[in-house]
Amino acid sequence: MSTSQNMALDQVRKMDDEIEEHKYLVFKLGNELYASSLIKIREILKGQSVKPVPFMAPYFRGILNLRGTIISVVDLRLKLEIPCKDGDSCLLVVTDTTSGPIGAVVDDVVVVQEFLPSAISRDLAIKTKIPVEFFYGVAKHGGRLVNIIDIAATLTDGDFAVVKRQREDGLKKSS
Amino acid sequence: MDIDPQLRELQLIFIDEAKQFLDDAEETLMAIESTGTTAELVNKAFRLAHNFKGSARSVGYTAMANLAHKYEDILSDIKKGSYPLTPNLISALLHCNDTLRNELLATQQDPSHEPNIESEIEALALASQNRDIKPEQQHPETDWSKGFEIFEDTPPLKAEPTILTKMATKTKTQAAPTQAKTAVDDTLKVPTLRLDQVLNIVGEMVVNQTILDGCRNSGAFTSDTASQAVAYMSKLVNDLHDISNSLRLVPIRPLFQKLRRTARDIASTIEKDFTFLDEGDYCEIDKSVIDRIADPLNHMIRNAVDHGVDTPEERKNAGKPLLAKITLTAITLDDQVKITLSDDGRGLNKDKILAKAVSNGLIQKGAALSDDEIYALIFAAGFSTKEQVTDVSGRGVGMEVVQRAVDDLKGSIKIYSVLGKGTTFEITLPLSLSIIGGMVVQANGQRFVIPVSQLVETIEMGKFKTESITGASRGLILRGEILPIYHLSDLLGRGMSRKKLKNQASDSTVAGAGITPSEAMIRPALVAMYRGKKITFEVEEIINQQKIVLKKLGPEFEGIPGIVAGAILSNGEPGLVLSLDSLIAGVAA
Repeated sequence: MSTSQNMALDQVRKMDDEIEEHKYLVFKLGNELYASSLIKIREILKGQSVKPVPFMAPYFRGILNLRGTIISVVDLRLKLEIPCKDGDSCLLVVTDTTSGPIGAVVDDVVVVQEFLPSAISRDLAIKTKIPVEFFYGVAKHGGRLVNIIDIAATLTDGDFAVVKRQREDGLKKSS
Repeated sequence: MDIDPQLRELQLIFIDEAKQFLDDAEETLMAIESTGTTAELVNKAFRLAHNFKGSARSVGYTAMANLAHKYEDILSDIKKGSYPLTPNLISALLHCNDTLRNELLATQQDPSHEPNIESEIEALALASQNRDIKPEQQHPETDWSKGFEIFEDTPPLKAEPTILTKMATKTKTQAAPTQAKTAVDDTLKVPTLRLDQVLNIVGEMVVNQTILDGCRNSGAFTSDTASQAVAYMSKLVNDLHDISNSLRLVPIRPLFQKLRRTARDIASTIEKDFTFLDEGDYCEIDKSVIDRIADPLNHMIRNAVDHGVDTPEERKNAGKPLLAKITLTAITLDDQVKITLSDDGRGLNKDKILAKAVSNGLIQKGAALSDDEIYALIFAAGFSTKEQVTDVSGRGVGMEVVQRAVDDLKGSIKIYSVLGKGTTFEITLPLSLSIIGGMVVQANGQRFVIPVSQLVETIEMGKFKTESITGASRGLILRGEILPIYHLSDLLGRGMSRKKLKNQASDSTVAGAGITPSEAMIRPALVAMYRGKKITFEVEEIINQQKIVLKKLGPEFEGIPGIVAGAILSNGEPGLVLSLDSLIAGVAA
């Protein structure tokens, strides 16, 4: 295949991606609405048994058997420090990340919605726990504001493990 | 440069085959070197070169074909008896093998790779004329010491340094993003017999499934036919499981072949005389185990030559035969393979190791250590007793690499050594990386899997005497030995829910419903080896022992002490596979 053909193909692929990119999954964390591009979202799970893992940060909820594959589950609310009433939501949004699929605990899944780039207000000077590069802006849905984020990047950002501290704890305990 | 996809496909097939040609040719040449020139062997090498040439030409690799042609010419001359196959000539041919292999790898990764082997053809031509001149002079660019240095920290691409440097950086950068997925060389040769077995079983399963479907359709799930079919199905699944595991097993032979080559190459650069013997290269082992143990073994052989084997003078003074012996053996035991590397050289000097460990701050002065513990020190990070860095065995990163690789593979190393008589390293590795024997235990109310290979035994602590040591720790007296006691729950820390865990000896709900306090007093524990010492791990409950299929965990688990893999337990829940060694490493040091 010639180079020019390749380039044309890439162009088409890009356009496809862009069309898909306008579709977002809107979900609830606490009382706030969030949305993330549908492209990387695999599935939504309910009522799974998540097993805790030692040496991990509090927002790391544990591991889950997803049809024979073990995936990690992160509590997105704790990760973003969003106040929430009960810690026991059992709704998971499974997302493809650079570290493979990860499940994100959310409070509710609202809708799949299209937001055109023009509908997203960017570069707002607001305070957020989300690293700027993962926070795309704010859009409106049903009279409420929706925070548009890159859920995959947010999930894998930062260290999951709190190994060192835990190990010193262990040392104190057993010596 | 654009390449016709069909041609590219043929080229890739050729590359795969050609690697085998080169391996075979190398083996043949080395056989000639050790057993002498026989018509049969020379013929074999000639045939291989000839085939290589023909195939290379047919897929458009003219440069490689030309080199193979020269190679073939030399062998043809030798066949005719025009001149003998001298060691130097063998070296030149081996060198040529390496060049071809590197070219193959380069073209495999980059279809538009322009081969640069003109110089090699000239070198080979020169070598055939000056058969008695040392190979070093024919290959001025060959700096072996540099080669060894690179070797220390690059993946299994071995051979010719000048090209290797480029190659190594290339593969490294490519490997970095996807991690551990080299994509190259991902094919595996499977004996037809085994594939047939798989097909037979699957065929029977299909038939059996039809029977079950019939039972379902007629609602006869409780009939004898159905229960027979289910029973038969479980047998078939078991068989299929066993066979599919064996599909990944490959003979250890190619690895041994490479190690033979390593030994040969070192022998030509060092002033020590030794023979290298190996045995058991027919043993089969998981391909990924082979891939990951290759470098450490290579390292150990270099170490054995450099540190282990004594100089001819030393040997003379000690009254030993002048020719030192290095032996490499492999033997399969149940689901493990034991690889032994022994030399009859100097042996490990315990005093020297201790002194070095003290000066490195690894241990306290005057610490009383058993032999095993002292030997284990050579695996510690940054430990090297040889003051000088040598070309052959590198810069003191040494045995640490070996220990890490063996740990990664969930194996173990034992050292036996007699000062002045020699040293034996015994590496035990699991045959397969994906399935292990696991002990399922409960700690912190959660189930965990401990590989059985790490365990010595399971005991009931209630039956043995325990005493406090320094007030804070406790020790268990097991058949006269004092074993430190650790609680698995404590080692796993408070990152997990610890409810229901207080006063566990008297709390009857701890280990599940229906357990009486007297049963809880049994206090199950695991006994494991840690750096040559036995250690007790108290657990809440020992659930059972079962075959565990290891599941990969995401990169978020990297660097977490003690967690090596995931597993799906028999109740369908996910569990973590622990390595007691690394769990305790931070605590016991």
